Amino acid sequence: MRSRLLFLWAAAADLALDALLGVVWFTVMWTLLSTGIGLIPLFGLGIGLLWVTVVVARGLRFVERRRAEALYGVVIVPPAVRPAPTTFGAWIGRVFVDVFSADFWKGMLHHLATLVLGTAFWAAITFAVDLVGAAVLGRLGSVLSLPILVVLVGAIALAVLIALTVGLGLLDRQLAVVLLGASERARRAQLEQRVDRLQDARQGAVDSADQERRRIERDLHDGVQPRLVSVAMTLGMARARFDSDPEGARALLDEAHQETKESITDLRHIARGIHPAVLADRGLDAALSAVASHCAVPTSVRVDLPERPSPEVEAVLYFAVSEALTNVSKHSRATRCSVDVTRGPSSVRAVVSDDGVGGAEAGRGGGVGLTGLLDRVRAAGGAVTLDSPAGGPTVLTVEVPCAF
Amino acid sequence: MRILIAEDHVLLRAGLERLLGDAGHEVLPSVADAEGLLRSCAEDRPDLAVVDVRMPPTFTDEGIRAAVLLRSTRPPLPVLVLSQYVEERYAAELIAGDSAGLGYLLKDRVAEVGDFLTAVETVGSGGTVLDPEVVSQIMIRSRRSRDLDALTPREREALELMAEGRSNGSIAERMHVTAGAVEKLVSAIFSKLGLPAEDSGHRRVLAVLTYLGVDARR
Repeated sequence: MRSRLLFLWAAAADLALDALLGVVWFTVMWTLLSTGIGLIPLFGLGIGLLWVTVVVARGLRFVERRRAEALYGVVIVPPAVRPAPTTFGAWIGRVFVDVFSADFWKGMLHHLATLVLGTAFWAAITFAVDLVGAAVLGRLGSVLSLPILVVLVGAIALAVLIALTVGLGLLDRQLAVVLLGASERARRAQLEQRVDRLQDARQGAVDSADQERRRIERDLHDGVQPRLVSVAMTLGMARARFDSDPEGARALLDEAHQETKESITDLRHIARGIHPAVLADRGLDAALSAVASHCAVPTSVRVDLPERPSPEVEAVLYFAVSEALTNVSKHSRATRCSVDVTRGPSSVRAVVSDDGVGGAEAGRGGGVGLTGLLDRVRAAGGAVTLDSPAGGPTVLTVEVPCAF
Repeated sequence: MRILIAEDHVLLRAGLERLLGDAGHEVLPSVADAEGLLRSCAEDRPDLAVVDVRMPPTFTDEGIRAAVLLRSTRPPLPVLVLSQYVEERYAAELIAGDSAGLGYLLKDRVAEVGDFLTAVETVGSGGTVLDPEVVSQIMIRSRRSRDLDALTPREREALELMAEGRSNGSIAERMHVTAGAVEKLVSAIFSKLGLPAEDSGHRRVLAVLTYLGVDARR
């Protein structure tokens, strides 16, 4: 009961406002639009005014959405926002696209609808008050001016008015949802797109983790393990010769010592490949400079971030750049390489460029590393672009979404 | 020397104690965390502290932070920092204006027993020892990379060895040239880079590092 009463009040308030706002909004929009179109021959002016029209329309739709949400307690999902145009030509095009867009005209329709509903509401109230007043004054015939009948007429008028308010309110609420919100189909398409993206990211995460495990296993099995076996063998031989051939034993000990140190270095690199401690301690800048110092090509590193991104984003960028630098070392035959990490509006971007021979491709001939890199970035919902014409230069860009 | 070891890894700690003991140093009772290190240094005032970077409780960089604290005492305590990976940033934090009596090496270098003992001697007597890995990072990150391009490959090599804190004799040994040739290389480097000529010692290292832009304020 209470909520119904509340709805009644909300609807009454909304409809009362509708009459005023509907008239104002519709007039403003219509004036702007017709003037804008009229001025199109004066190219710059017309376009400018149409742009203003589009912006004002967007603002009004926002205000109206908030008003409906506040008064009726509905949730209106706003339509998807198209990415902002980057060039002037695209901007002009966008103005026209927006003026012809469904959202724009649905907004206009909504203003018109509120105007009509609001006006109807006020008309109904005025009519009811007039009717009751007329009954009281006996203008409707002397029988109807009897007090009991006046009360009856008043009660009927009030009931009709309440029913009308509720009806108009329901209509108004429904219209706001339909005209100001994203259509059901668009919403579903958005969700489907997101599911696709997430599925893709999940597959990337699974693939890259799998590859990673294989790589670690291979590194241990083909690298460190045989080395340690050989150390044990060398030591065994040195022990056997210890009394008979001290000189030979010493040479073997030297060999074992050398082998051990190489194993230690191997292990350090494997550990760093699994989880670079410096990344957690000091961030991308420090971690990448360490990687760059191992690159066969002289590499400069510049990290320009206002603050540290999340550990996941740091890890993805770190491994992507490491992989890229490994490729530069192996295949590029470059003389210089640079790594630049900068912040975008809602992402972090790493650009690795070298002046080598180019011709890098993902997925073919030595592209296993690049494929792994793609998986990893995909898992984070990021994107990789590789520009590597034959003859170079090669530019690899990794962009990972990130909220700072 | 009287040496204090701060290392949480039992095997490595025992190894270091034996190694330094065999070399004739007096090893104080070892400690396993940064708190113990600071307390023991305040009480016993050793000639040198050998410090692992990763120690309990957080296993990140408390060794570095403890070392920075020890270096800020008057007179600064000589510290030799061992780390599983070296990082130019840590070096910058440690140096912070003075590199006297400072060592920063990869843990793995302990396996080079002779070199390690030499590093201990150098740091204990107020010298500087930086791991070649750190120096190569410093060279990469140096904002003077364009000036460094003016050096010949040999001069560049000599500069890196200087930045590691090596003496002319040690540089000569490394590069398989005579001490005279090293002196020539060094003076060529200093004039090319426009540095005031420092003959040797840690002031030279400091000059080189400052030139390369190792700066804790970044």
